[in-house]
Amino acid sequence: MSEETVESPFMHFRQGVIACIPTLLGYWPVGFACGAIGVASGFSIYQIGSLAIFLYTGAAQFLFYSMATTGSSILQIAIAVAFINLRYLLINTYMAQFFRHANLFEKLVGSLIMTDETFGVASQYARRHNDRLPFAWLLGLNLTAWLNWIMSSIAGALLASALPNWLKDSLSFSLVGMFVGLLVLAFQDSRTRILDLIVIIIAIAIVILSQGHISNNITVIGATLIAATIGMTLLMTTARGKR
Amino acid sequence: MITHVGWAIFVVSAVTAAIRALPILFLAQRNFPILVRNWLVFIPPAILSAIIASEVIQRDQTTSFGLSVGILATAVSLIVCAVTKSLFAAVAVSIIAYFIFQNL
Repeated sequence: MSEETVESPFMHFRQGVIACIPTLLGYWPVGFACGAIGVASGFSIYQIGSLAIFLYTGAAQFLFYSMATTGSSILQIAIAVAFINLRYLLINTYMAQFFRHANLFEKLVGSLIMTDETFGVASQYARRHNDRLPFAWLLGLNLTAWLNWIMSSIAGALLASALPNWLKDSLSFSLVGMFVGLLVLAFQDSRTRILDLIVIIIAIAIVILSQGHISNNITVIGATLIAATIGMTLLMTTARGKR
Repeated sequence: MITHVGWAIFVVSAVTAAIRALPILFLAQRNFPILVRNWLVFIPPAILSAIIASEVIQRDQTTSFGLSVGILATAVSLIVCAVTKSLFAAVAVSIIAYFIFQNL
């Protein structure tokens, strides 16, 4: 096989699809639960499908169902959804460095269907490939995740009543398992492991200490900002010390 | 139940799309200074660990011997992933471990 074939956009796309497969085990249970809760909250399958397609974020979809059924206004729901999704500002600020040579279409497609999970997989890929992230690869990854999220939400809406609660509960934990996996794999590939470990401990400590005082979404953003800033400061100090 | 569900879906989707798209649309062409690049290096471990901690502490189920089901299942998943280096294994084991610890 020639080198040109190996690096073709189609090959990259296919590799992106393959890279997404392990995360699907995490997407399906959560998407399924999301669809099931939508039905239980009184939404139609079209509305559940539309939310999965256009909003495409589990936490915000759960929040939407909850607020829309308890009499909140559209403005209140929009503000709450904006807060819960603020982490995408950080995630896509990180991802922006890989879109330097991308056109407008690629930037839009790449950003609109980015999620926490695909970000985890993509950042790991970039670390392993000299900070390069081909658009076709990212498209394969993101598109697979997006389509599976839509399918799982609709399947959940259609089949919710068939699953027992204990199984739904265990399946919902798969999301944590996926984030643990992404963190461990990123750590193993890291060039700054000791600093990463410090950053991880600080982020976890902030979340634990803030519990009950600040909302979880704000805590996650605050913990990320503080821990990453401390990591950056330590890295700069260490580099200066070596000079 | 809200009366204009279609409008609500449109508004929340537009807000989320803006949050997702703006950083890449406006920051992609910029050459970040070394300070920002070094800061961005730590965003993935920081945000992933913050999300994990946040998800785990929200689950208050404990085993019959008083330990958190979420923390135990997370620990097992972490060890399995570190050994196997497999994302799939981490996810599969987390589901099984959570189920087992729930019933212990």
